[in-house]
Amino acid sequence: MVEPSRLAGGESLRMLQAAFMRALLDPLPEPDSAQGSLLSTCDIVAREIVARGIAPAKRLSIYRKNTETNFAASLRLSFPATYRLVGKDYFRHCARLYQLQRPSCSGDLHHVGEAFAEYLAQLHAHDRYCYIGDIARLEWLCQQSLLAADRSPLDLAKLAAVDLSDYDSLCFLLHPSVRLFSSKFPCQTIWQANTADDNTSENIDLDLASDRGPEYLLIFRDSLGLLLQGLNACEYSFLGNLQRGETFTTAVQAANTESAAFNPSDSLRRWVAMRVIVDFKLMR
Amino acid sequence: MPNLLVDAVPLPLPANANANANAGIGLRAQHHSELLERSPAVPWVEAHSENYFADGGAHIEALFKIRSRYSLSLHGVGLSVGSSDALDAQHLKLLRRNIDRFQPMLVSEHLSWSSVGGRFANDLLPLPYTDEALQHVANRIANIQDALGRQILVENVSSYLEYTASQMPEWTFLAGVATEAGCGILLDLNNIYVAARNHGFKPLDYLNAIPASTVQEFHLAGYSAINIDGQEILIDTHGAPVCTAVWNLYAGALQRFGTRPTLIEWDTDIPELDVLIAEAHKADQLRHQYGRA
Repeated sequence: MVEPSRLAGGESLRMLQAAFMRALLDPLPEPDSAQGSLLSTCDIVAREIVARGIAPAKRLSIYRKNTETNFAASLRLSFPATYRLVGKDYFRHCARLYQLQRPSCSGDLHHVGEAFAEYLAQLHAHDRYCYIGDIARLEWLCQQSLLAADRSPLDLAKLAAVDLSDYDSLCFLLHPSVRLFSSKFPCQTIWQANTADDNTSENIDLDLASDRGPEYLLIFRDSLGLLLQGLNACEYSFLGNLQRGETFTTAVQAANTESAAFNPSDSLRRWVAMRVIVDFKLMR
Repeated sequence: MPNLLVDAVPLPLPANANANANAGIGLRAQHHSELLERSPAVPWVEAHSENYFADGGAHIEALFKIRSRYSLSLHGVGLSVGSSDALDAQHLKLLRRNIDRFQPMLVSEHLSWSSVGGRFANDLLPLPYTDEALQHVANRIANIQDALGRQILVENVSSYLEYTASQMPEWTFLAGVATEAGCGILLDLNNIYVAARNHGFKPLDYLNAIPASTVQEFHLAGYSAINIDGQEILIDTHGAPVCTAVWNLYAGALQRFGTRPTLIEWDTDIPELDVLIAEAHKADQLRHQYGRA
């Protein structure tokens, strides 16, 4: 850990910065009158800022607006389908409320969406937009998948060399881009309809879809980009166990409790070919 | 896909662009494929360091390919150099990883702050120009350079306010930080112009106060203007062509400092690649006219 030679940048610098940050990220008493009300909430900073023809509060409001705009723009990049579903104005409104509650905690804006899905899910837990949190959660997983590490495919010769007696301790590793998703809503359909380049609209019947039971998705990245594939309950259970580091044997047993029709060797072959499974290790 | 991260094979890198090479352009993701398909004749590109913090994926792969054809500069917007918080070790680690994997010719950050108490504004906020802040920022830059194992450049930012506590002009602060920390200076001529118009000083006073030996890069960009209380404030949007006054200031900078790697920056309303290249060619013409080695 690199520490500054001095513990903090001197007390007056720290106090100035803290007051400035409050002016950017604390809620205002009257959200619709930023220009006037900022002064009263940011007294210290207002006293520290040179006016030169423009009230310090109005100078500060340029930075407050920048902070809000940068944050919302970054969220929009991570959540394009959510943005399209809720519309520009409501998205901007939610983005600001979320920012005041969960401000960015990194110099890398890619992280700001980390809790956005959870925020939206709570906000709309009991209304007709109750699916919106799940759409945002799916989009966040897609972004994680796109940014994950690269990995070479499974070395089949190495796998063939594993002794039969070691099969019980075999653990398969998934590609770092693999994410698993489940929802009671038809999220893949909603997501696809709202990330398509064309502007055609499609009616999706949530009630009809919910009769079909939960949706399970495999999200991963191949050389051409992001892929979303539907899974059945067995496959979802199987991959989930592999991802949690369980042995192949345990994962197969768990999948079989979902359905006796689960075929482990077919599944293994398919996911190795698709580079969803990329390595293995032996648990000793 | 080759395992670009794990197999740290030395890259067949092009020679780094020197100060007398033509102007470079800011690298934005929407230009990745066009840059790789056409390989236009620009000597170098500058990428935002944080845009390539990912472990892998398409953008990282694209930057490896771009780096195999072009010299590269890494330009950070998120390290929060002037913050009174402790340095973010994880951010430094990821920046160091990018330096190791992409081997840039220059690494730069901003002379500003963006976080305190763990909260980030993700904006380039101005510092008070006090002796206390100068010492603090210089110490912090020295620590950053130790952690990265190399010198960095710091860039002057645009600003929309000044502090009553400031004891010196921005140029004295910038030059002082560079001397104290042993870092270089990235002089953004648009930011000087914007700050000069917003705060009422002469841009040439700024240039004349900066020691030539510290300046290692120039930035050129466009701004926009807003009106508050009947007074115009220029905002550093990086979303427009370079204005005539900034081209003139660039000519002045070439005369005072000599030629330095020069970059066309464009971050919002990003135009076609050819528009950026045309702006870079304008910079080249001025370099031929006014520059000296």
